[in-house]
Amino acid sequence: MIDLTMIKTCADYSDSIQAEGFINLEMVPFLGMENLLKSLQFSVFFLGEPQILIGRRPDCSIILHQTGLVSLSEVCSEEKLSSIIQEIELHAKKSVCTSI
Amino acid sequence: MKFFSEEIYLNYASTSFPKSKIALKSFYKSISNPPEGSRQNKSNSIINNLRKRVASILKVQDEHVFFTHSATIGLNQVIKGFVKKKNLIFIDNRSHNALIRPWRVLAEHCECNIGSIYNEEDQLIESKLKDITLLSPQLLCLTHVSNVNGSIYPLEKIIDLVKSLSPSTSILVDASQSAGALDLSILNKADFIVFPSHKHLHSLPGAAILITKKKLKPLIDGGTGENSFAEESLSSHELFAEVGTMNFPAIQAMVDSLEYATLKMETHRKLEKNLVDQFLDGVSQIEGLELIGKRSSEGRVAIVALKPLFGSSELHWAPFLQSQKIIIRGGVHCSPLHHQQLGLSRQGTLRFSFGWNTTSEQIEKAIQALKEFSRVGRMIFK
Repeated sequence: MIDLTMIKTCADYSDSIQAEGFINLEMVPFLGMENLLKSLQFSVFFLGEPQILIGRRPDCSIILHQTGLVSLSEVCSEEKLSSIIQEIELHAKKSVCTSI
Repeated sequence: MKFFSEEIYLNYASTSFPKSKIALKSFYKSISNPPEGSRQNKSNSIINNLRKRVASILKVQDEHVFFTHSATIGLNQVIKGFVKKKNLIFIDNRSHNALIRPWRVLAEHCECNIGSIYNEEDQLIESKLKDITLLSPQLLCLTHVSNVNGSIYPLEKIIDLVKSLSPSTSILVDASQSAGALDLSILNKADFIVFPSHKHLHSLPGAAILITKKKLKPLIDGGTGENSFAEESLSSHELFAEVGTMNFPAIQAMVDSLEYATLKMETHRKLEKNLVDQFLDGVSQIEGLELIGKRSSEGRVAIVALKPLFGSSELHWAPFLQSQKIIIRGGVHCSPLHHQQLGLSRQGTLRFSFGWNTTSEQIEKAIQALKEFSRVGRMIFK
C-alpha cells in the first residue's frame, strides 16, 4: 500500500529519519486516511490549497497529498519507520475487510 | 526564455532561480563560439579581459583576480594555501561551513580560534574585535552578510580597524551573500575576497571569484595551457589558483551578471527592500513565528529567518510550504555557530530569501501559506 521511494537521514539532524513515497489511495481514499490515522493515535488536520493532510503523533509526522505523495518525518530510526508503515498498512487492510 | 514553473521560489540564498536573462544570454553566446586554445598568457585573451572587467568593478588590480569553480573552493584555496604551521587564525561565528570545515582541518597544526564579534542584534562589539587584534592573528576570516538572517556586517569599518591595530593580520571576506546585492568595492582593503556566481548575481553555478593580494600555495596542481615542459608545482606560477579546464561559459555569464548587478544595484536594492518590508509586515501578524535578526529592511539583504514556535520546528513548516509549491529552506543553513549564539543549537530556522525578480504577489502567497499553517499549527503542536 505504501511504496517508499526515498529514505534518508534528516539533513541537519542525524538522529532523525525522513522518507518519501506514495500511498495507494484506491485502497483507502485521501479523506478516508483521516479516520485511519486517528485510529492510530495521530492528530489529523486538513489544510492548504492544494489541500493536504497532516498527521502527527510523538514518534512520527506525516504529510499526505491528494495525489498520494506522502512524506514521513521525525522518525527516530529505519526500524521505527518500518514498524509505522506496517502499522498503517495493517490497519488499512483491516478497514478494507471491515467495509467489505 | 520563459519558465513554466508553478513554484514560488524563495530560496535565493541557496541559489537563484530563474537565472537572469543576462546570464543565460551570455552563457549561450559563450558555448556557441569555439573556445580559445591557449588562454591565459595573452593579455587580450577572453579570460584576461574578463579579469580586467572584474578588477574595474571591484577596484582591485587585474592580477589579483582569479576564477574558481565555486566559493567553497576559493575559500579552501585561501585557508589551506595561505596558513602556515603554528599560525593563529580567527574566524567569526557568522561563518558558513565552507569556512568552518577547512578551518577545523587546520586546527591540527595551527592555533584556531572562533568567536563572535557581534551581539545577538548583529551589532559590532568593538572591544571584542580589539581583543582579537591584540593577538595579531595571521588570518582573520569574516562574513560580509549572514546567510541565516541577511544582516549586513560593517566590514568596511572592521577592515580599517584591524588594519590600523594589527597591520600584519590578513583579512579574508566571504562575500557569498552580498555579491550582486551590495557594492563589494568597499571591501577592497581586504587581502582576500571570495564570492560565487549563482546566488544574488542570478547567474550560473560552476564559477566564482577569488580576489587575492597574496600568493597562495595552490590547492590543486595541474595544467595551465602554457609552460607544458615544466613539471614542478605551480607555487611560483602567476596563475596558481587556475588550473585545468575552466568553466568559461559560467565565468563569462558571471562577469556579465556582476556588471549588470552593479549597474542596477540601486534599483534592485529598492525592489528587494520593498519585498522584505512587505514580508516582515505580513509575518509580524502571524502567531507561531519569531523573527530572527533585524526588524526592518534596513541593514540587511533580502534574507529573512523565522524561528518556529508552538513546539514546532522548521521540519513541520517547510514541508507544508513545499506542498503549497513555495520553495524555501528550513534548517541550519550550514551555519551551526550562528544558530548556537541564537540559542538554536537543536533547532533550525525557516529562511526566506528573495531576488530582484521576486514579485509582491509571490510574497503575499507565502504570507498566506504561513498564516494557514499557523492556524492549524497551534492545534497540532499544543
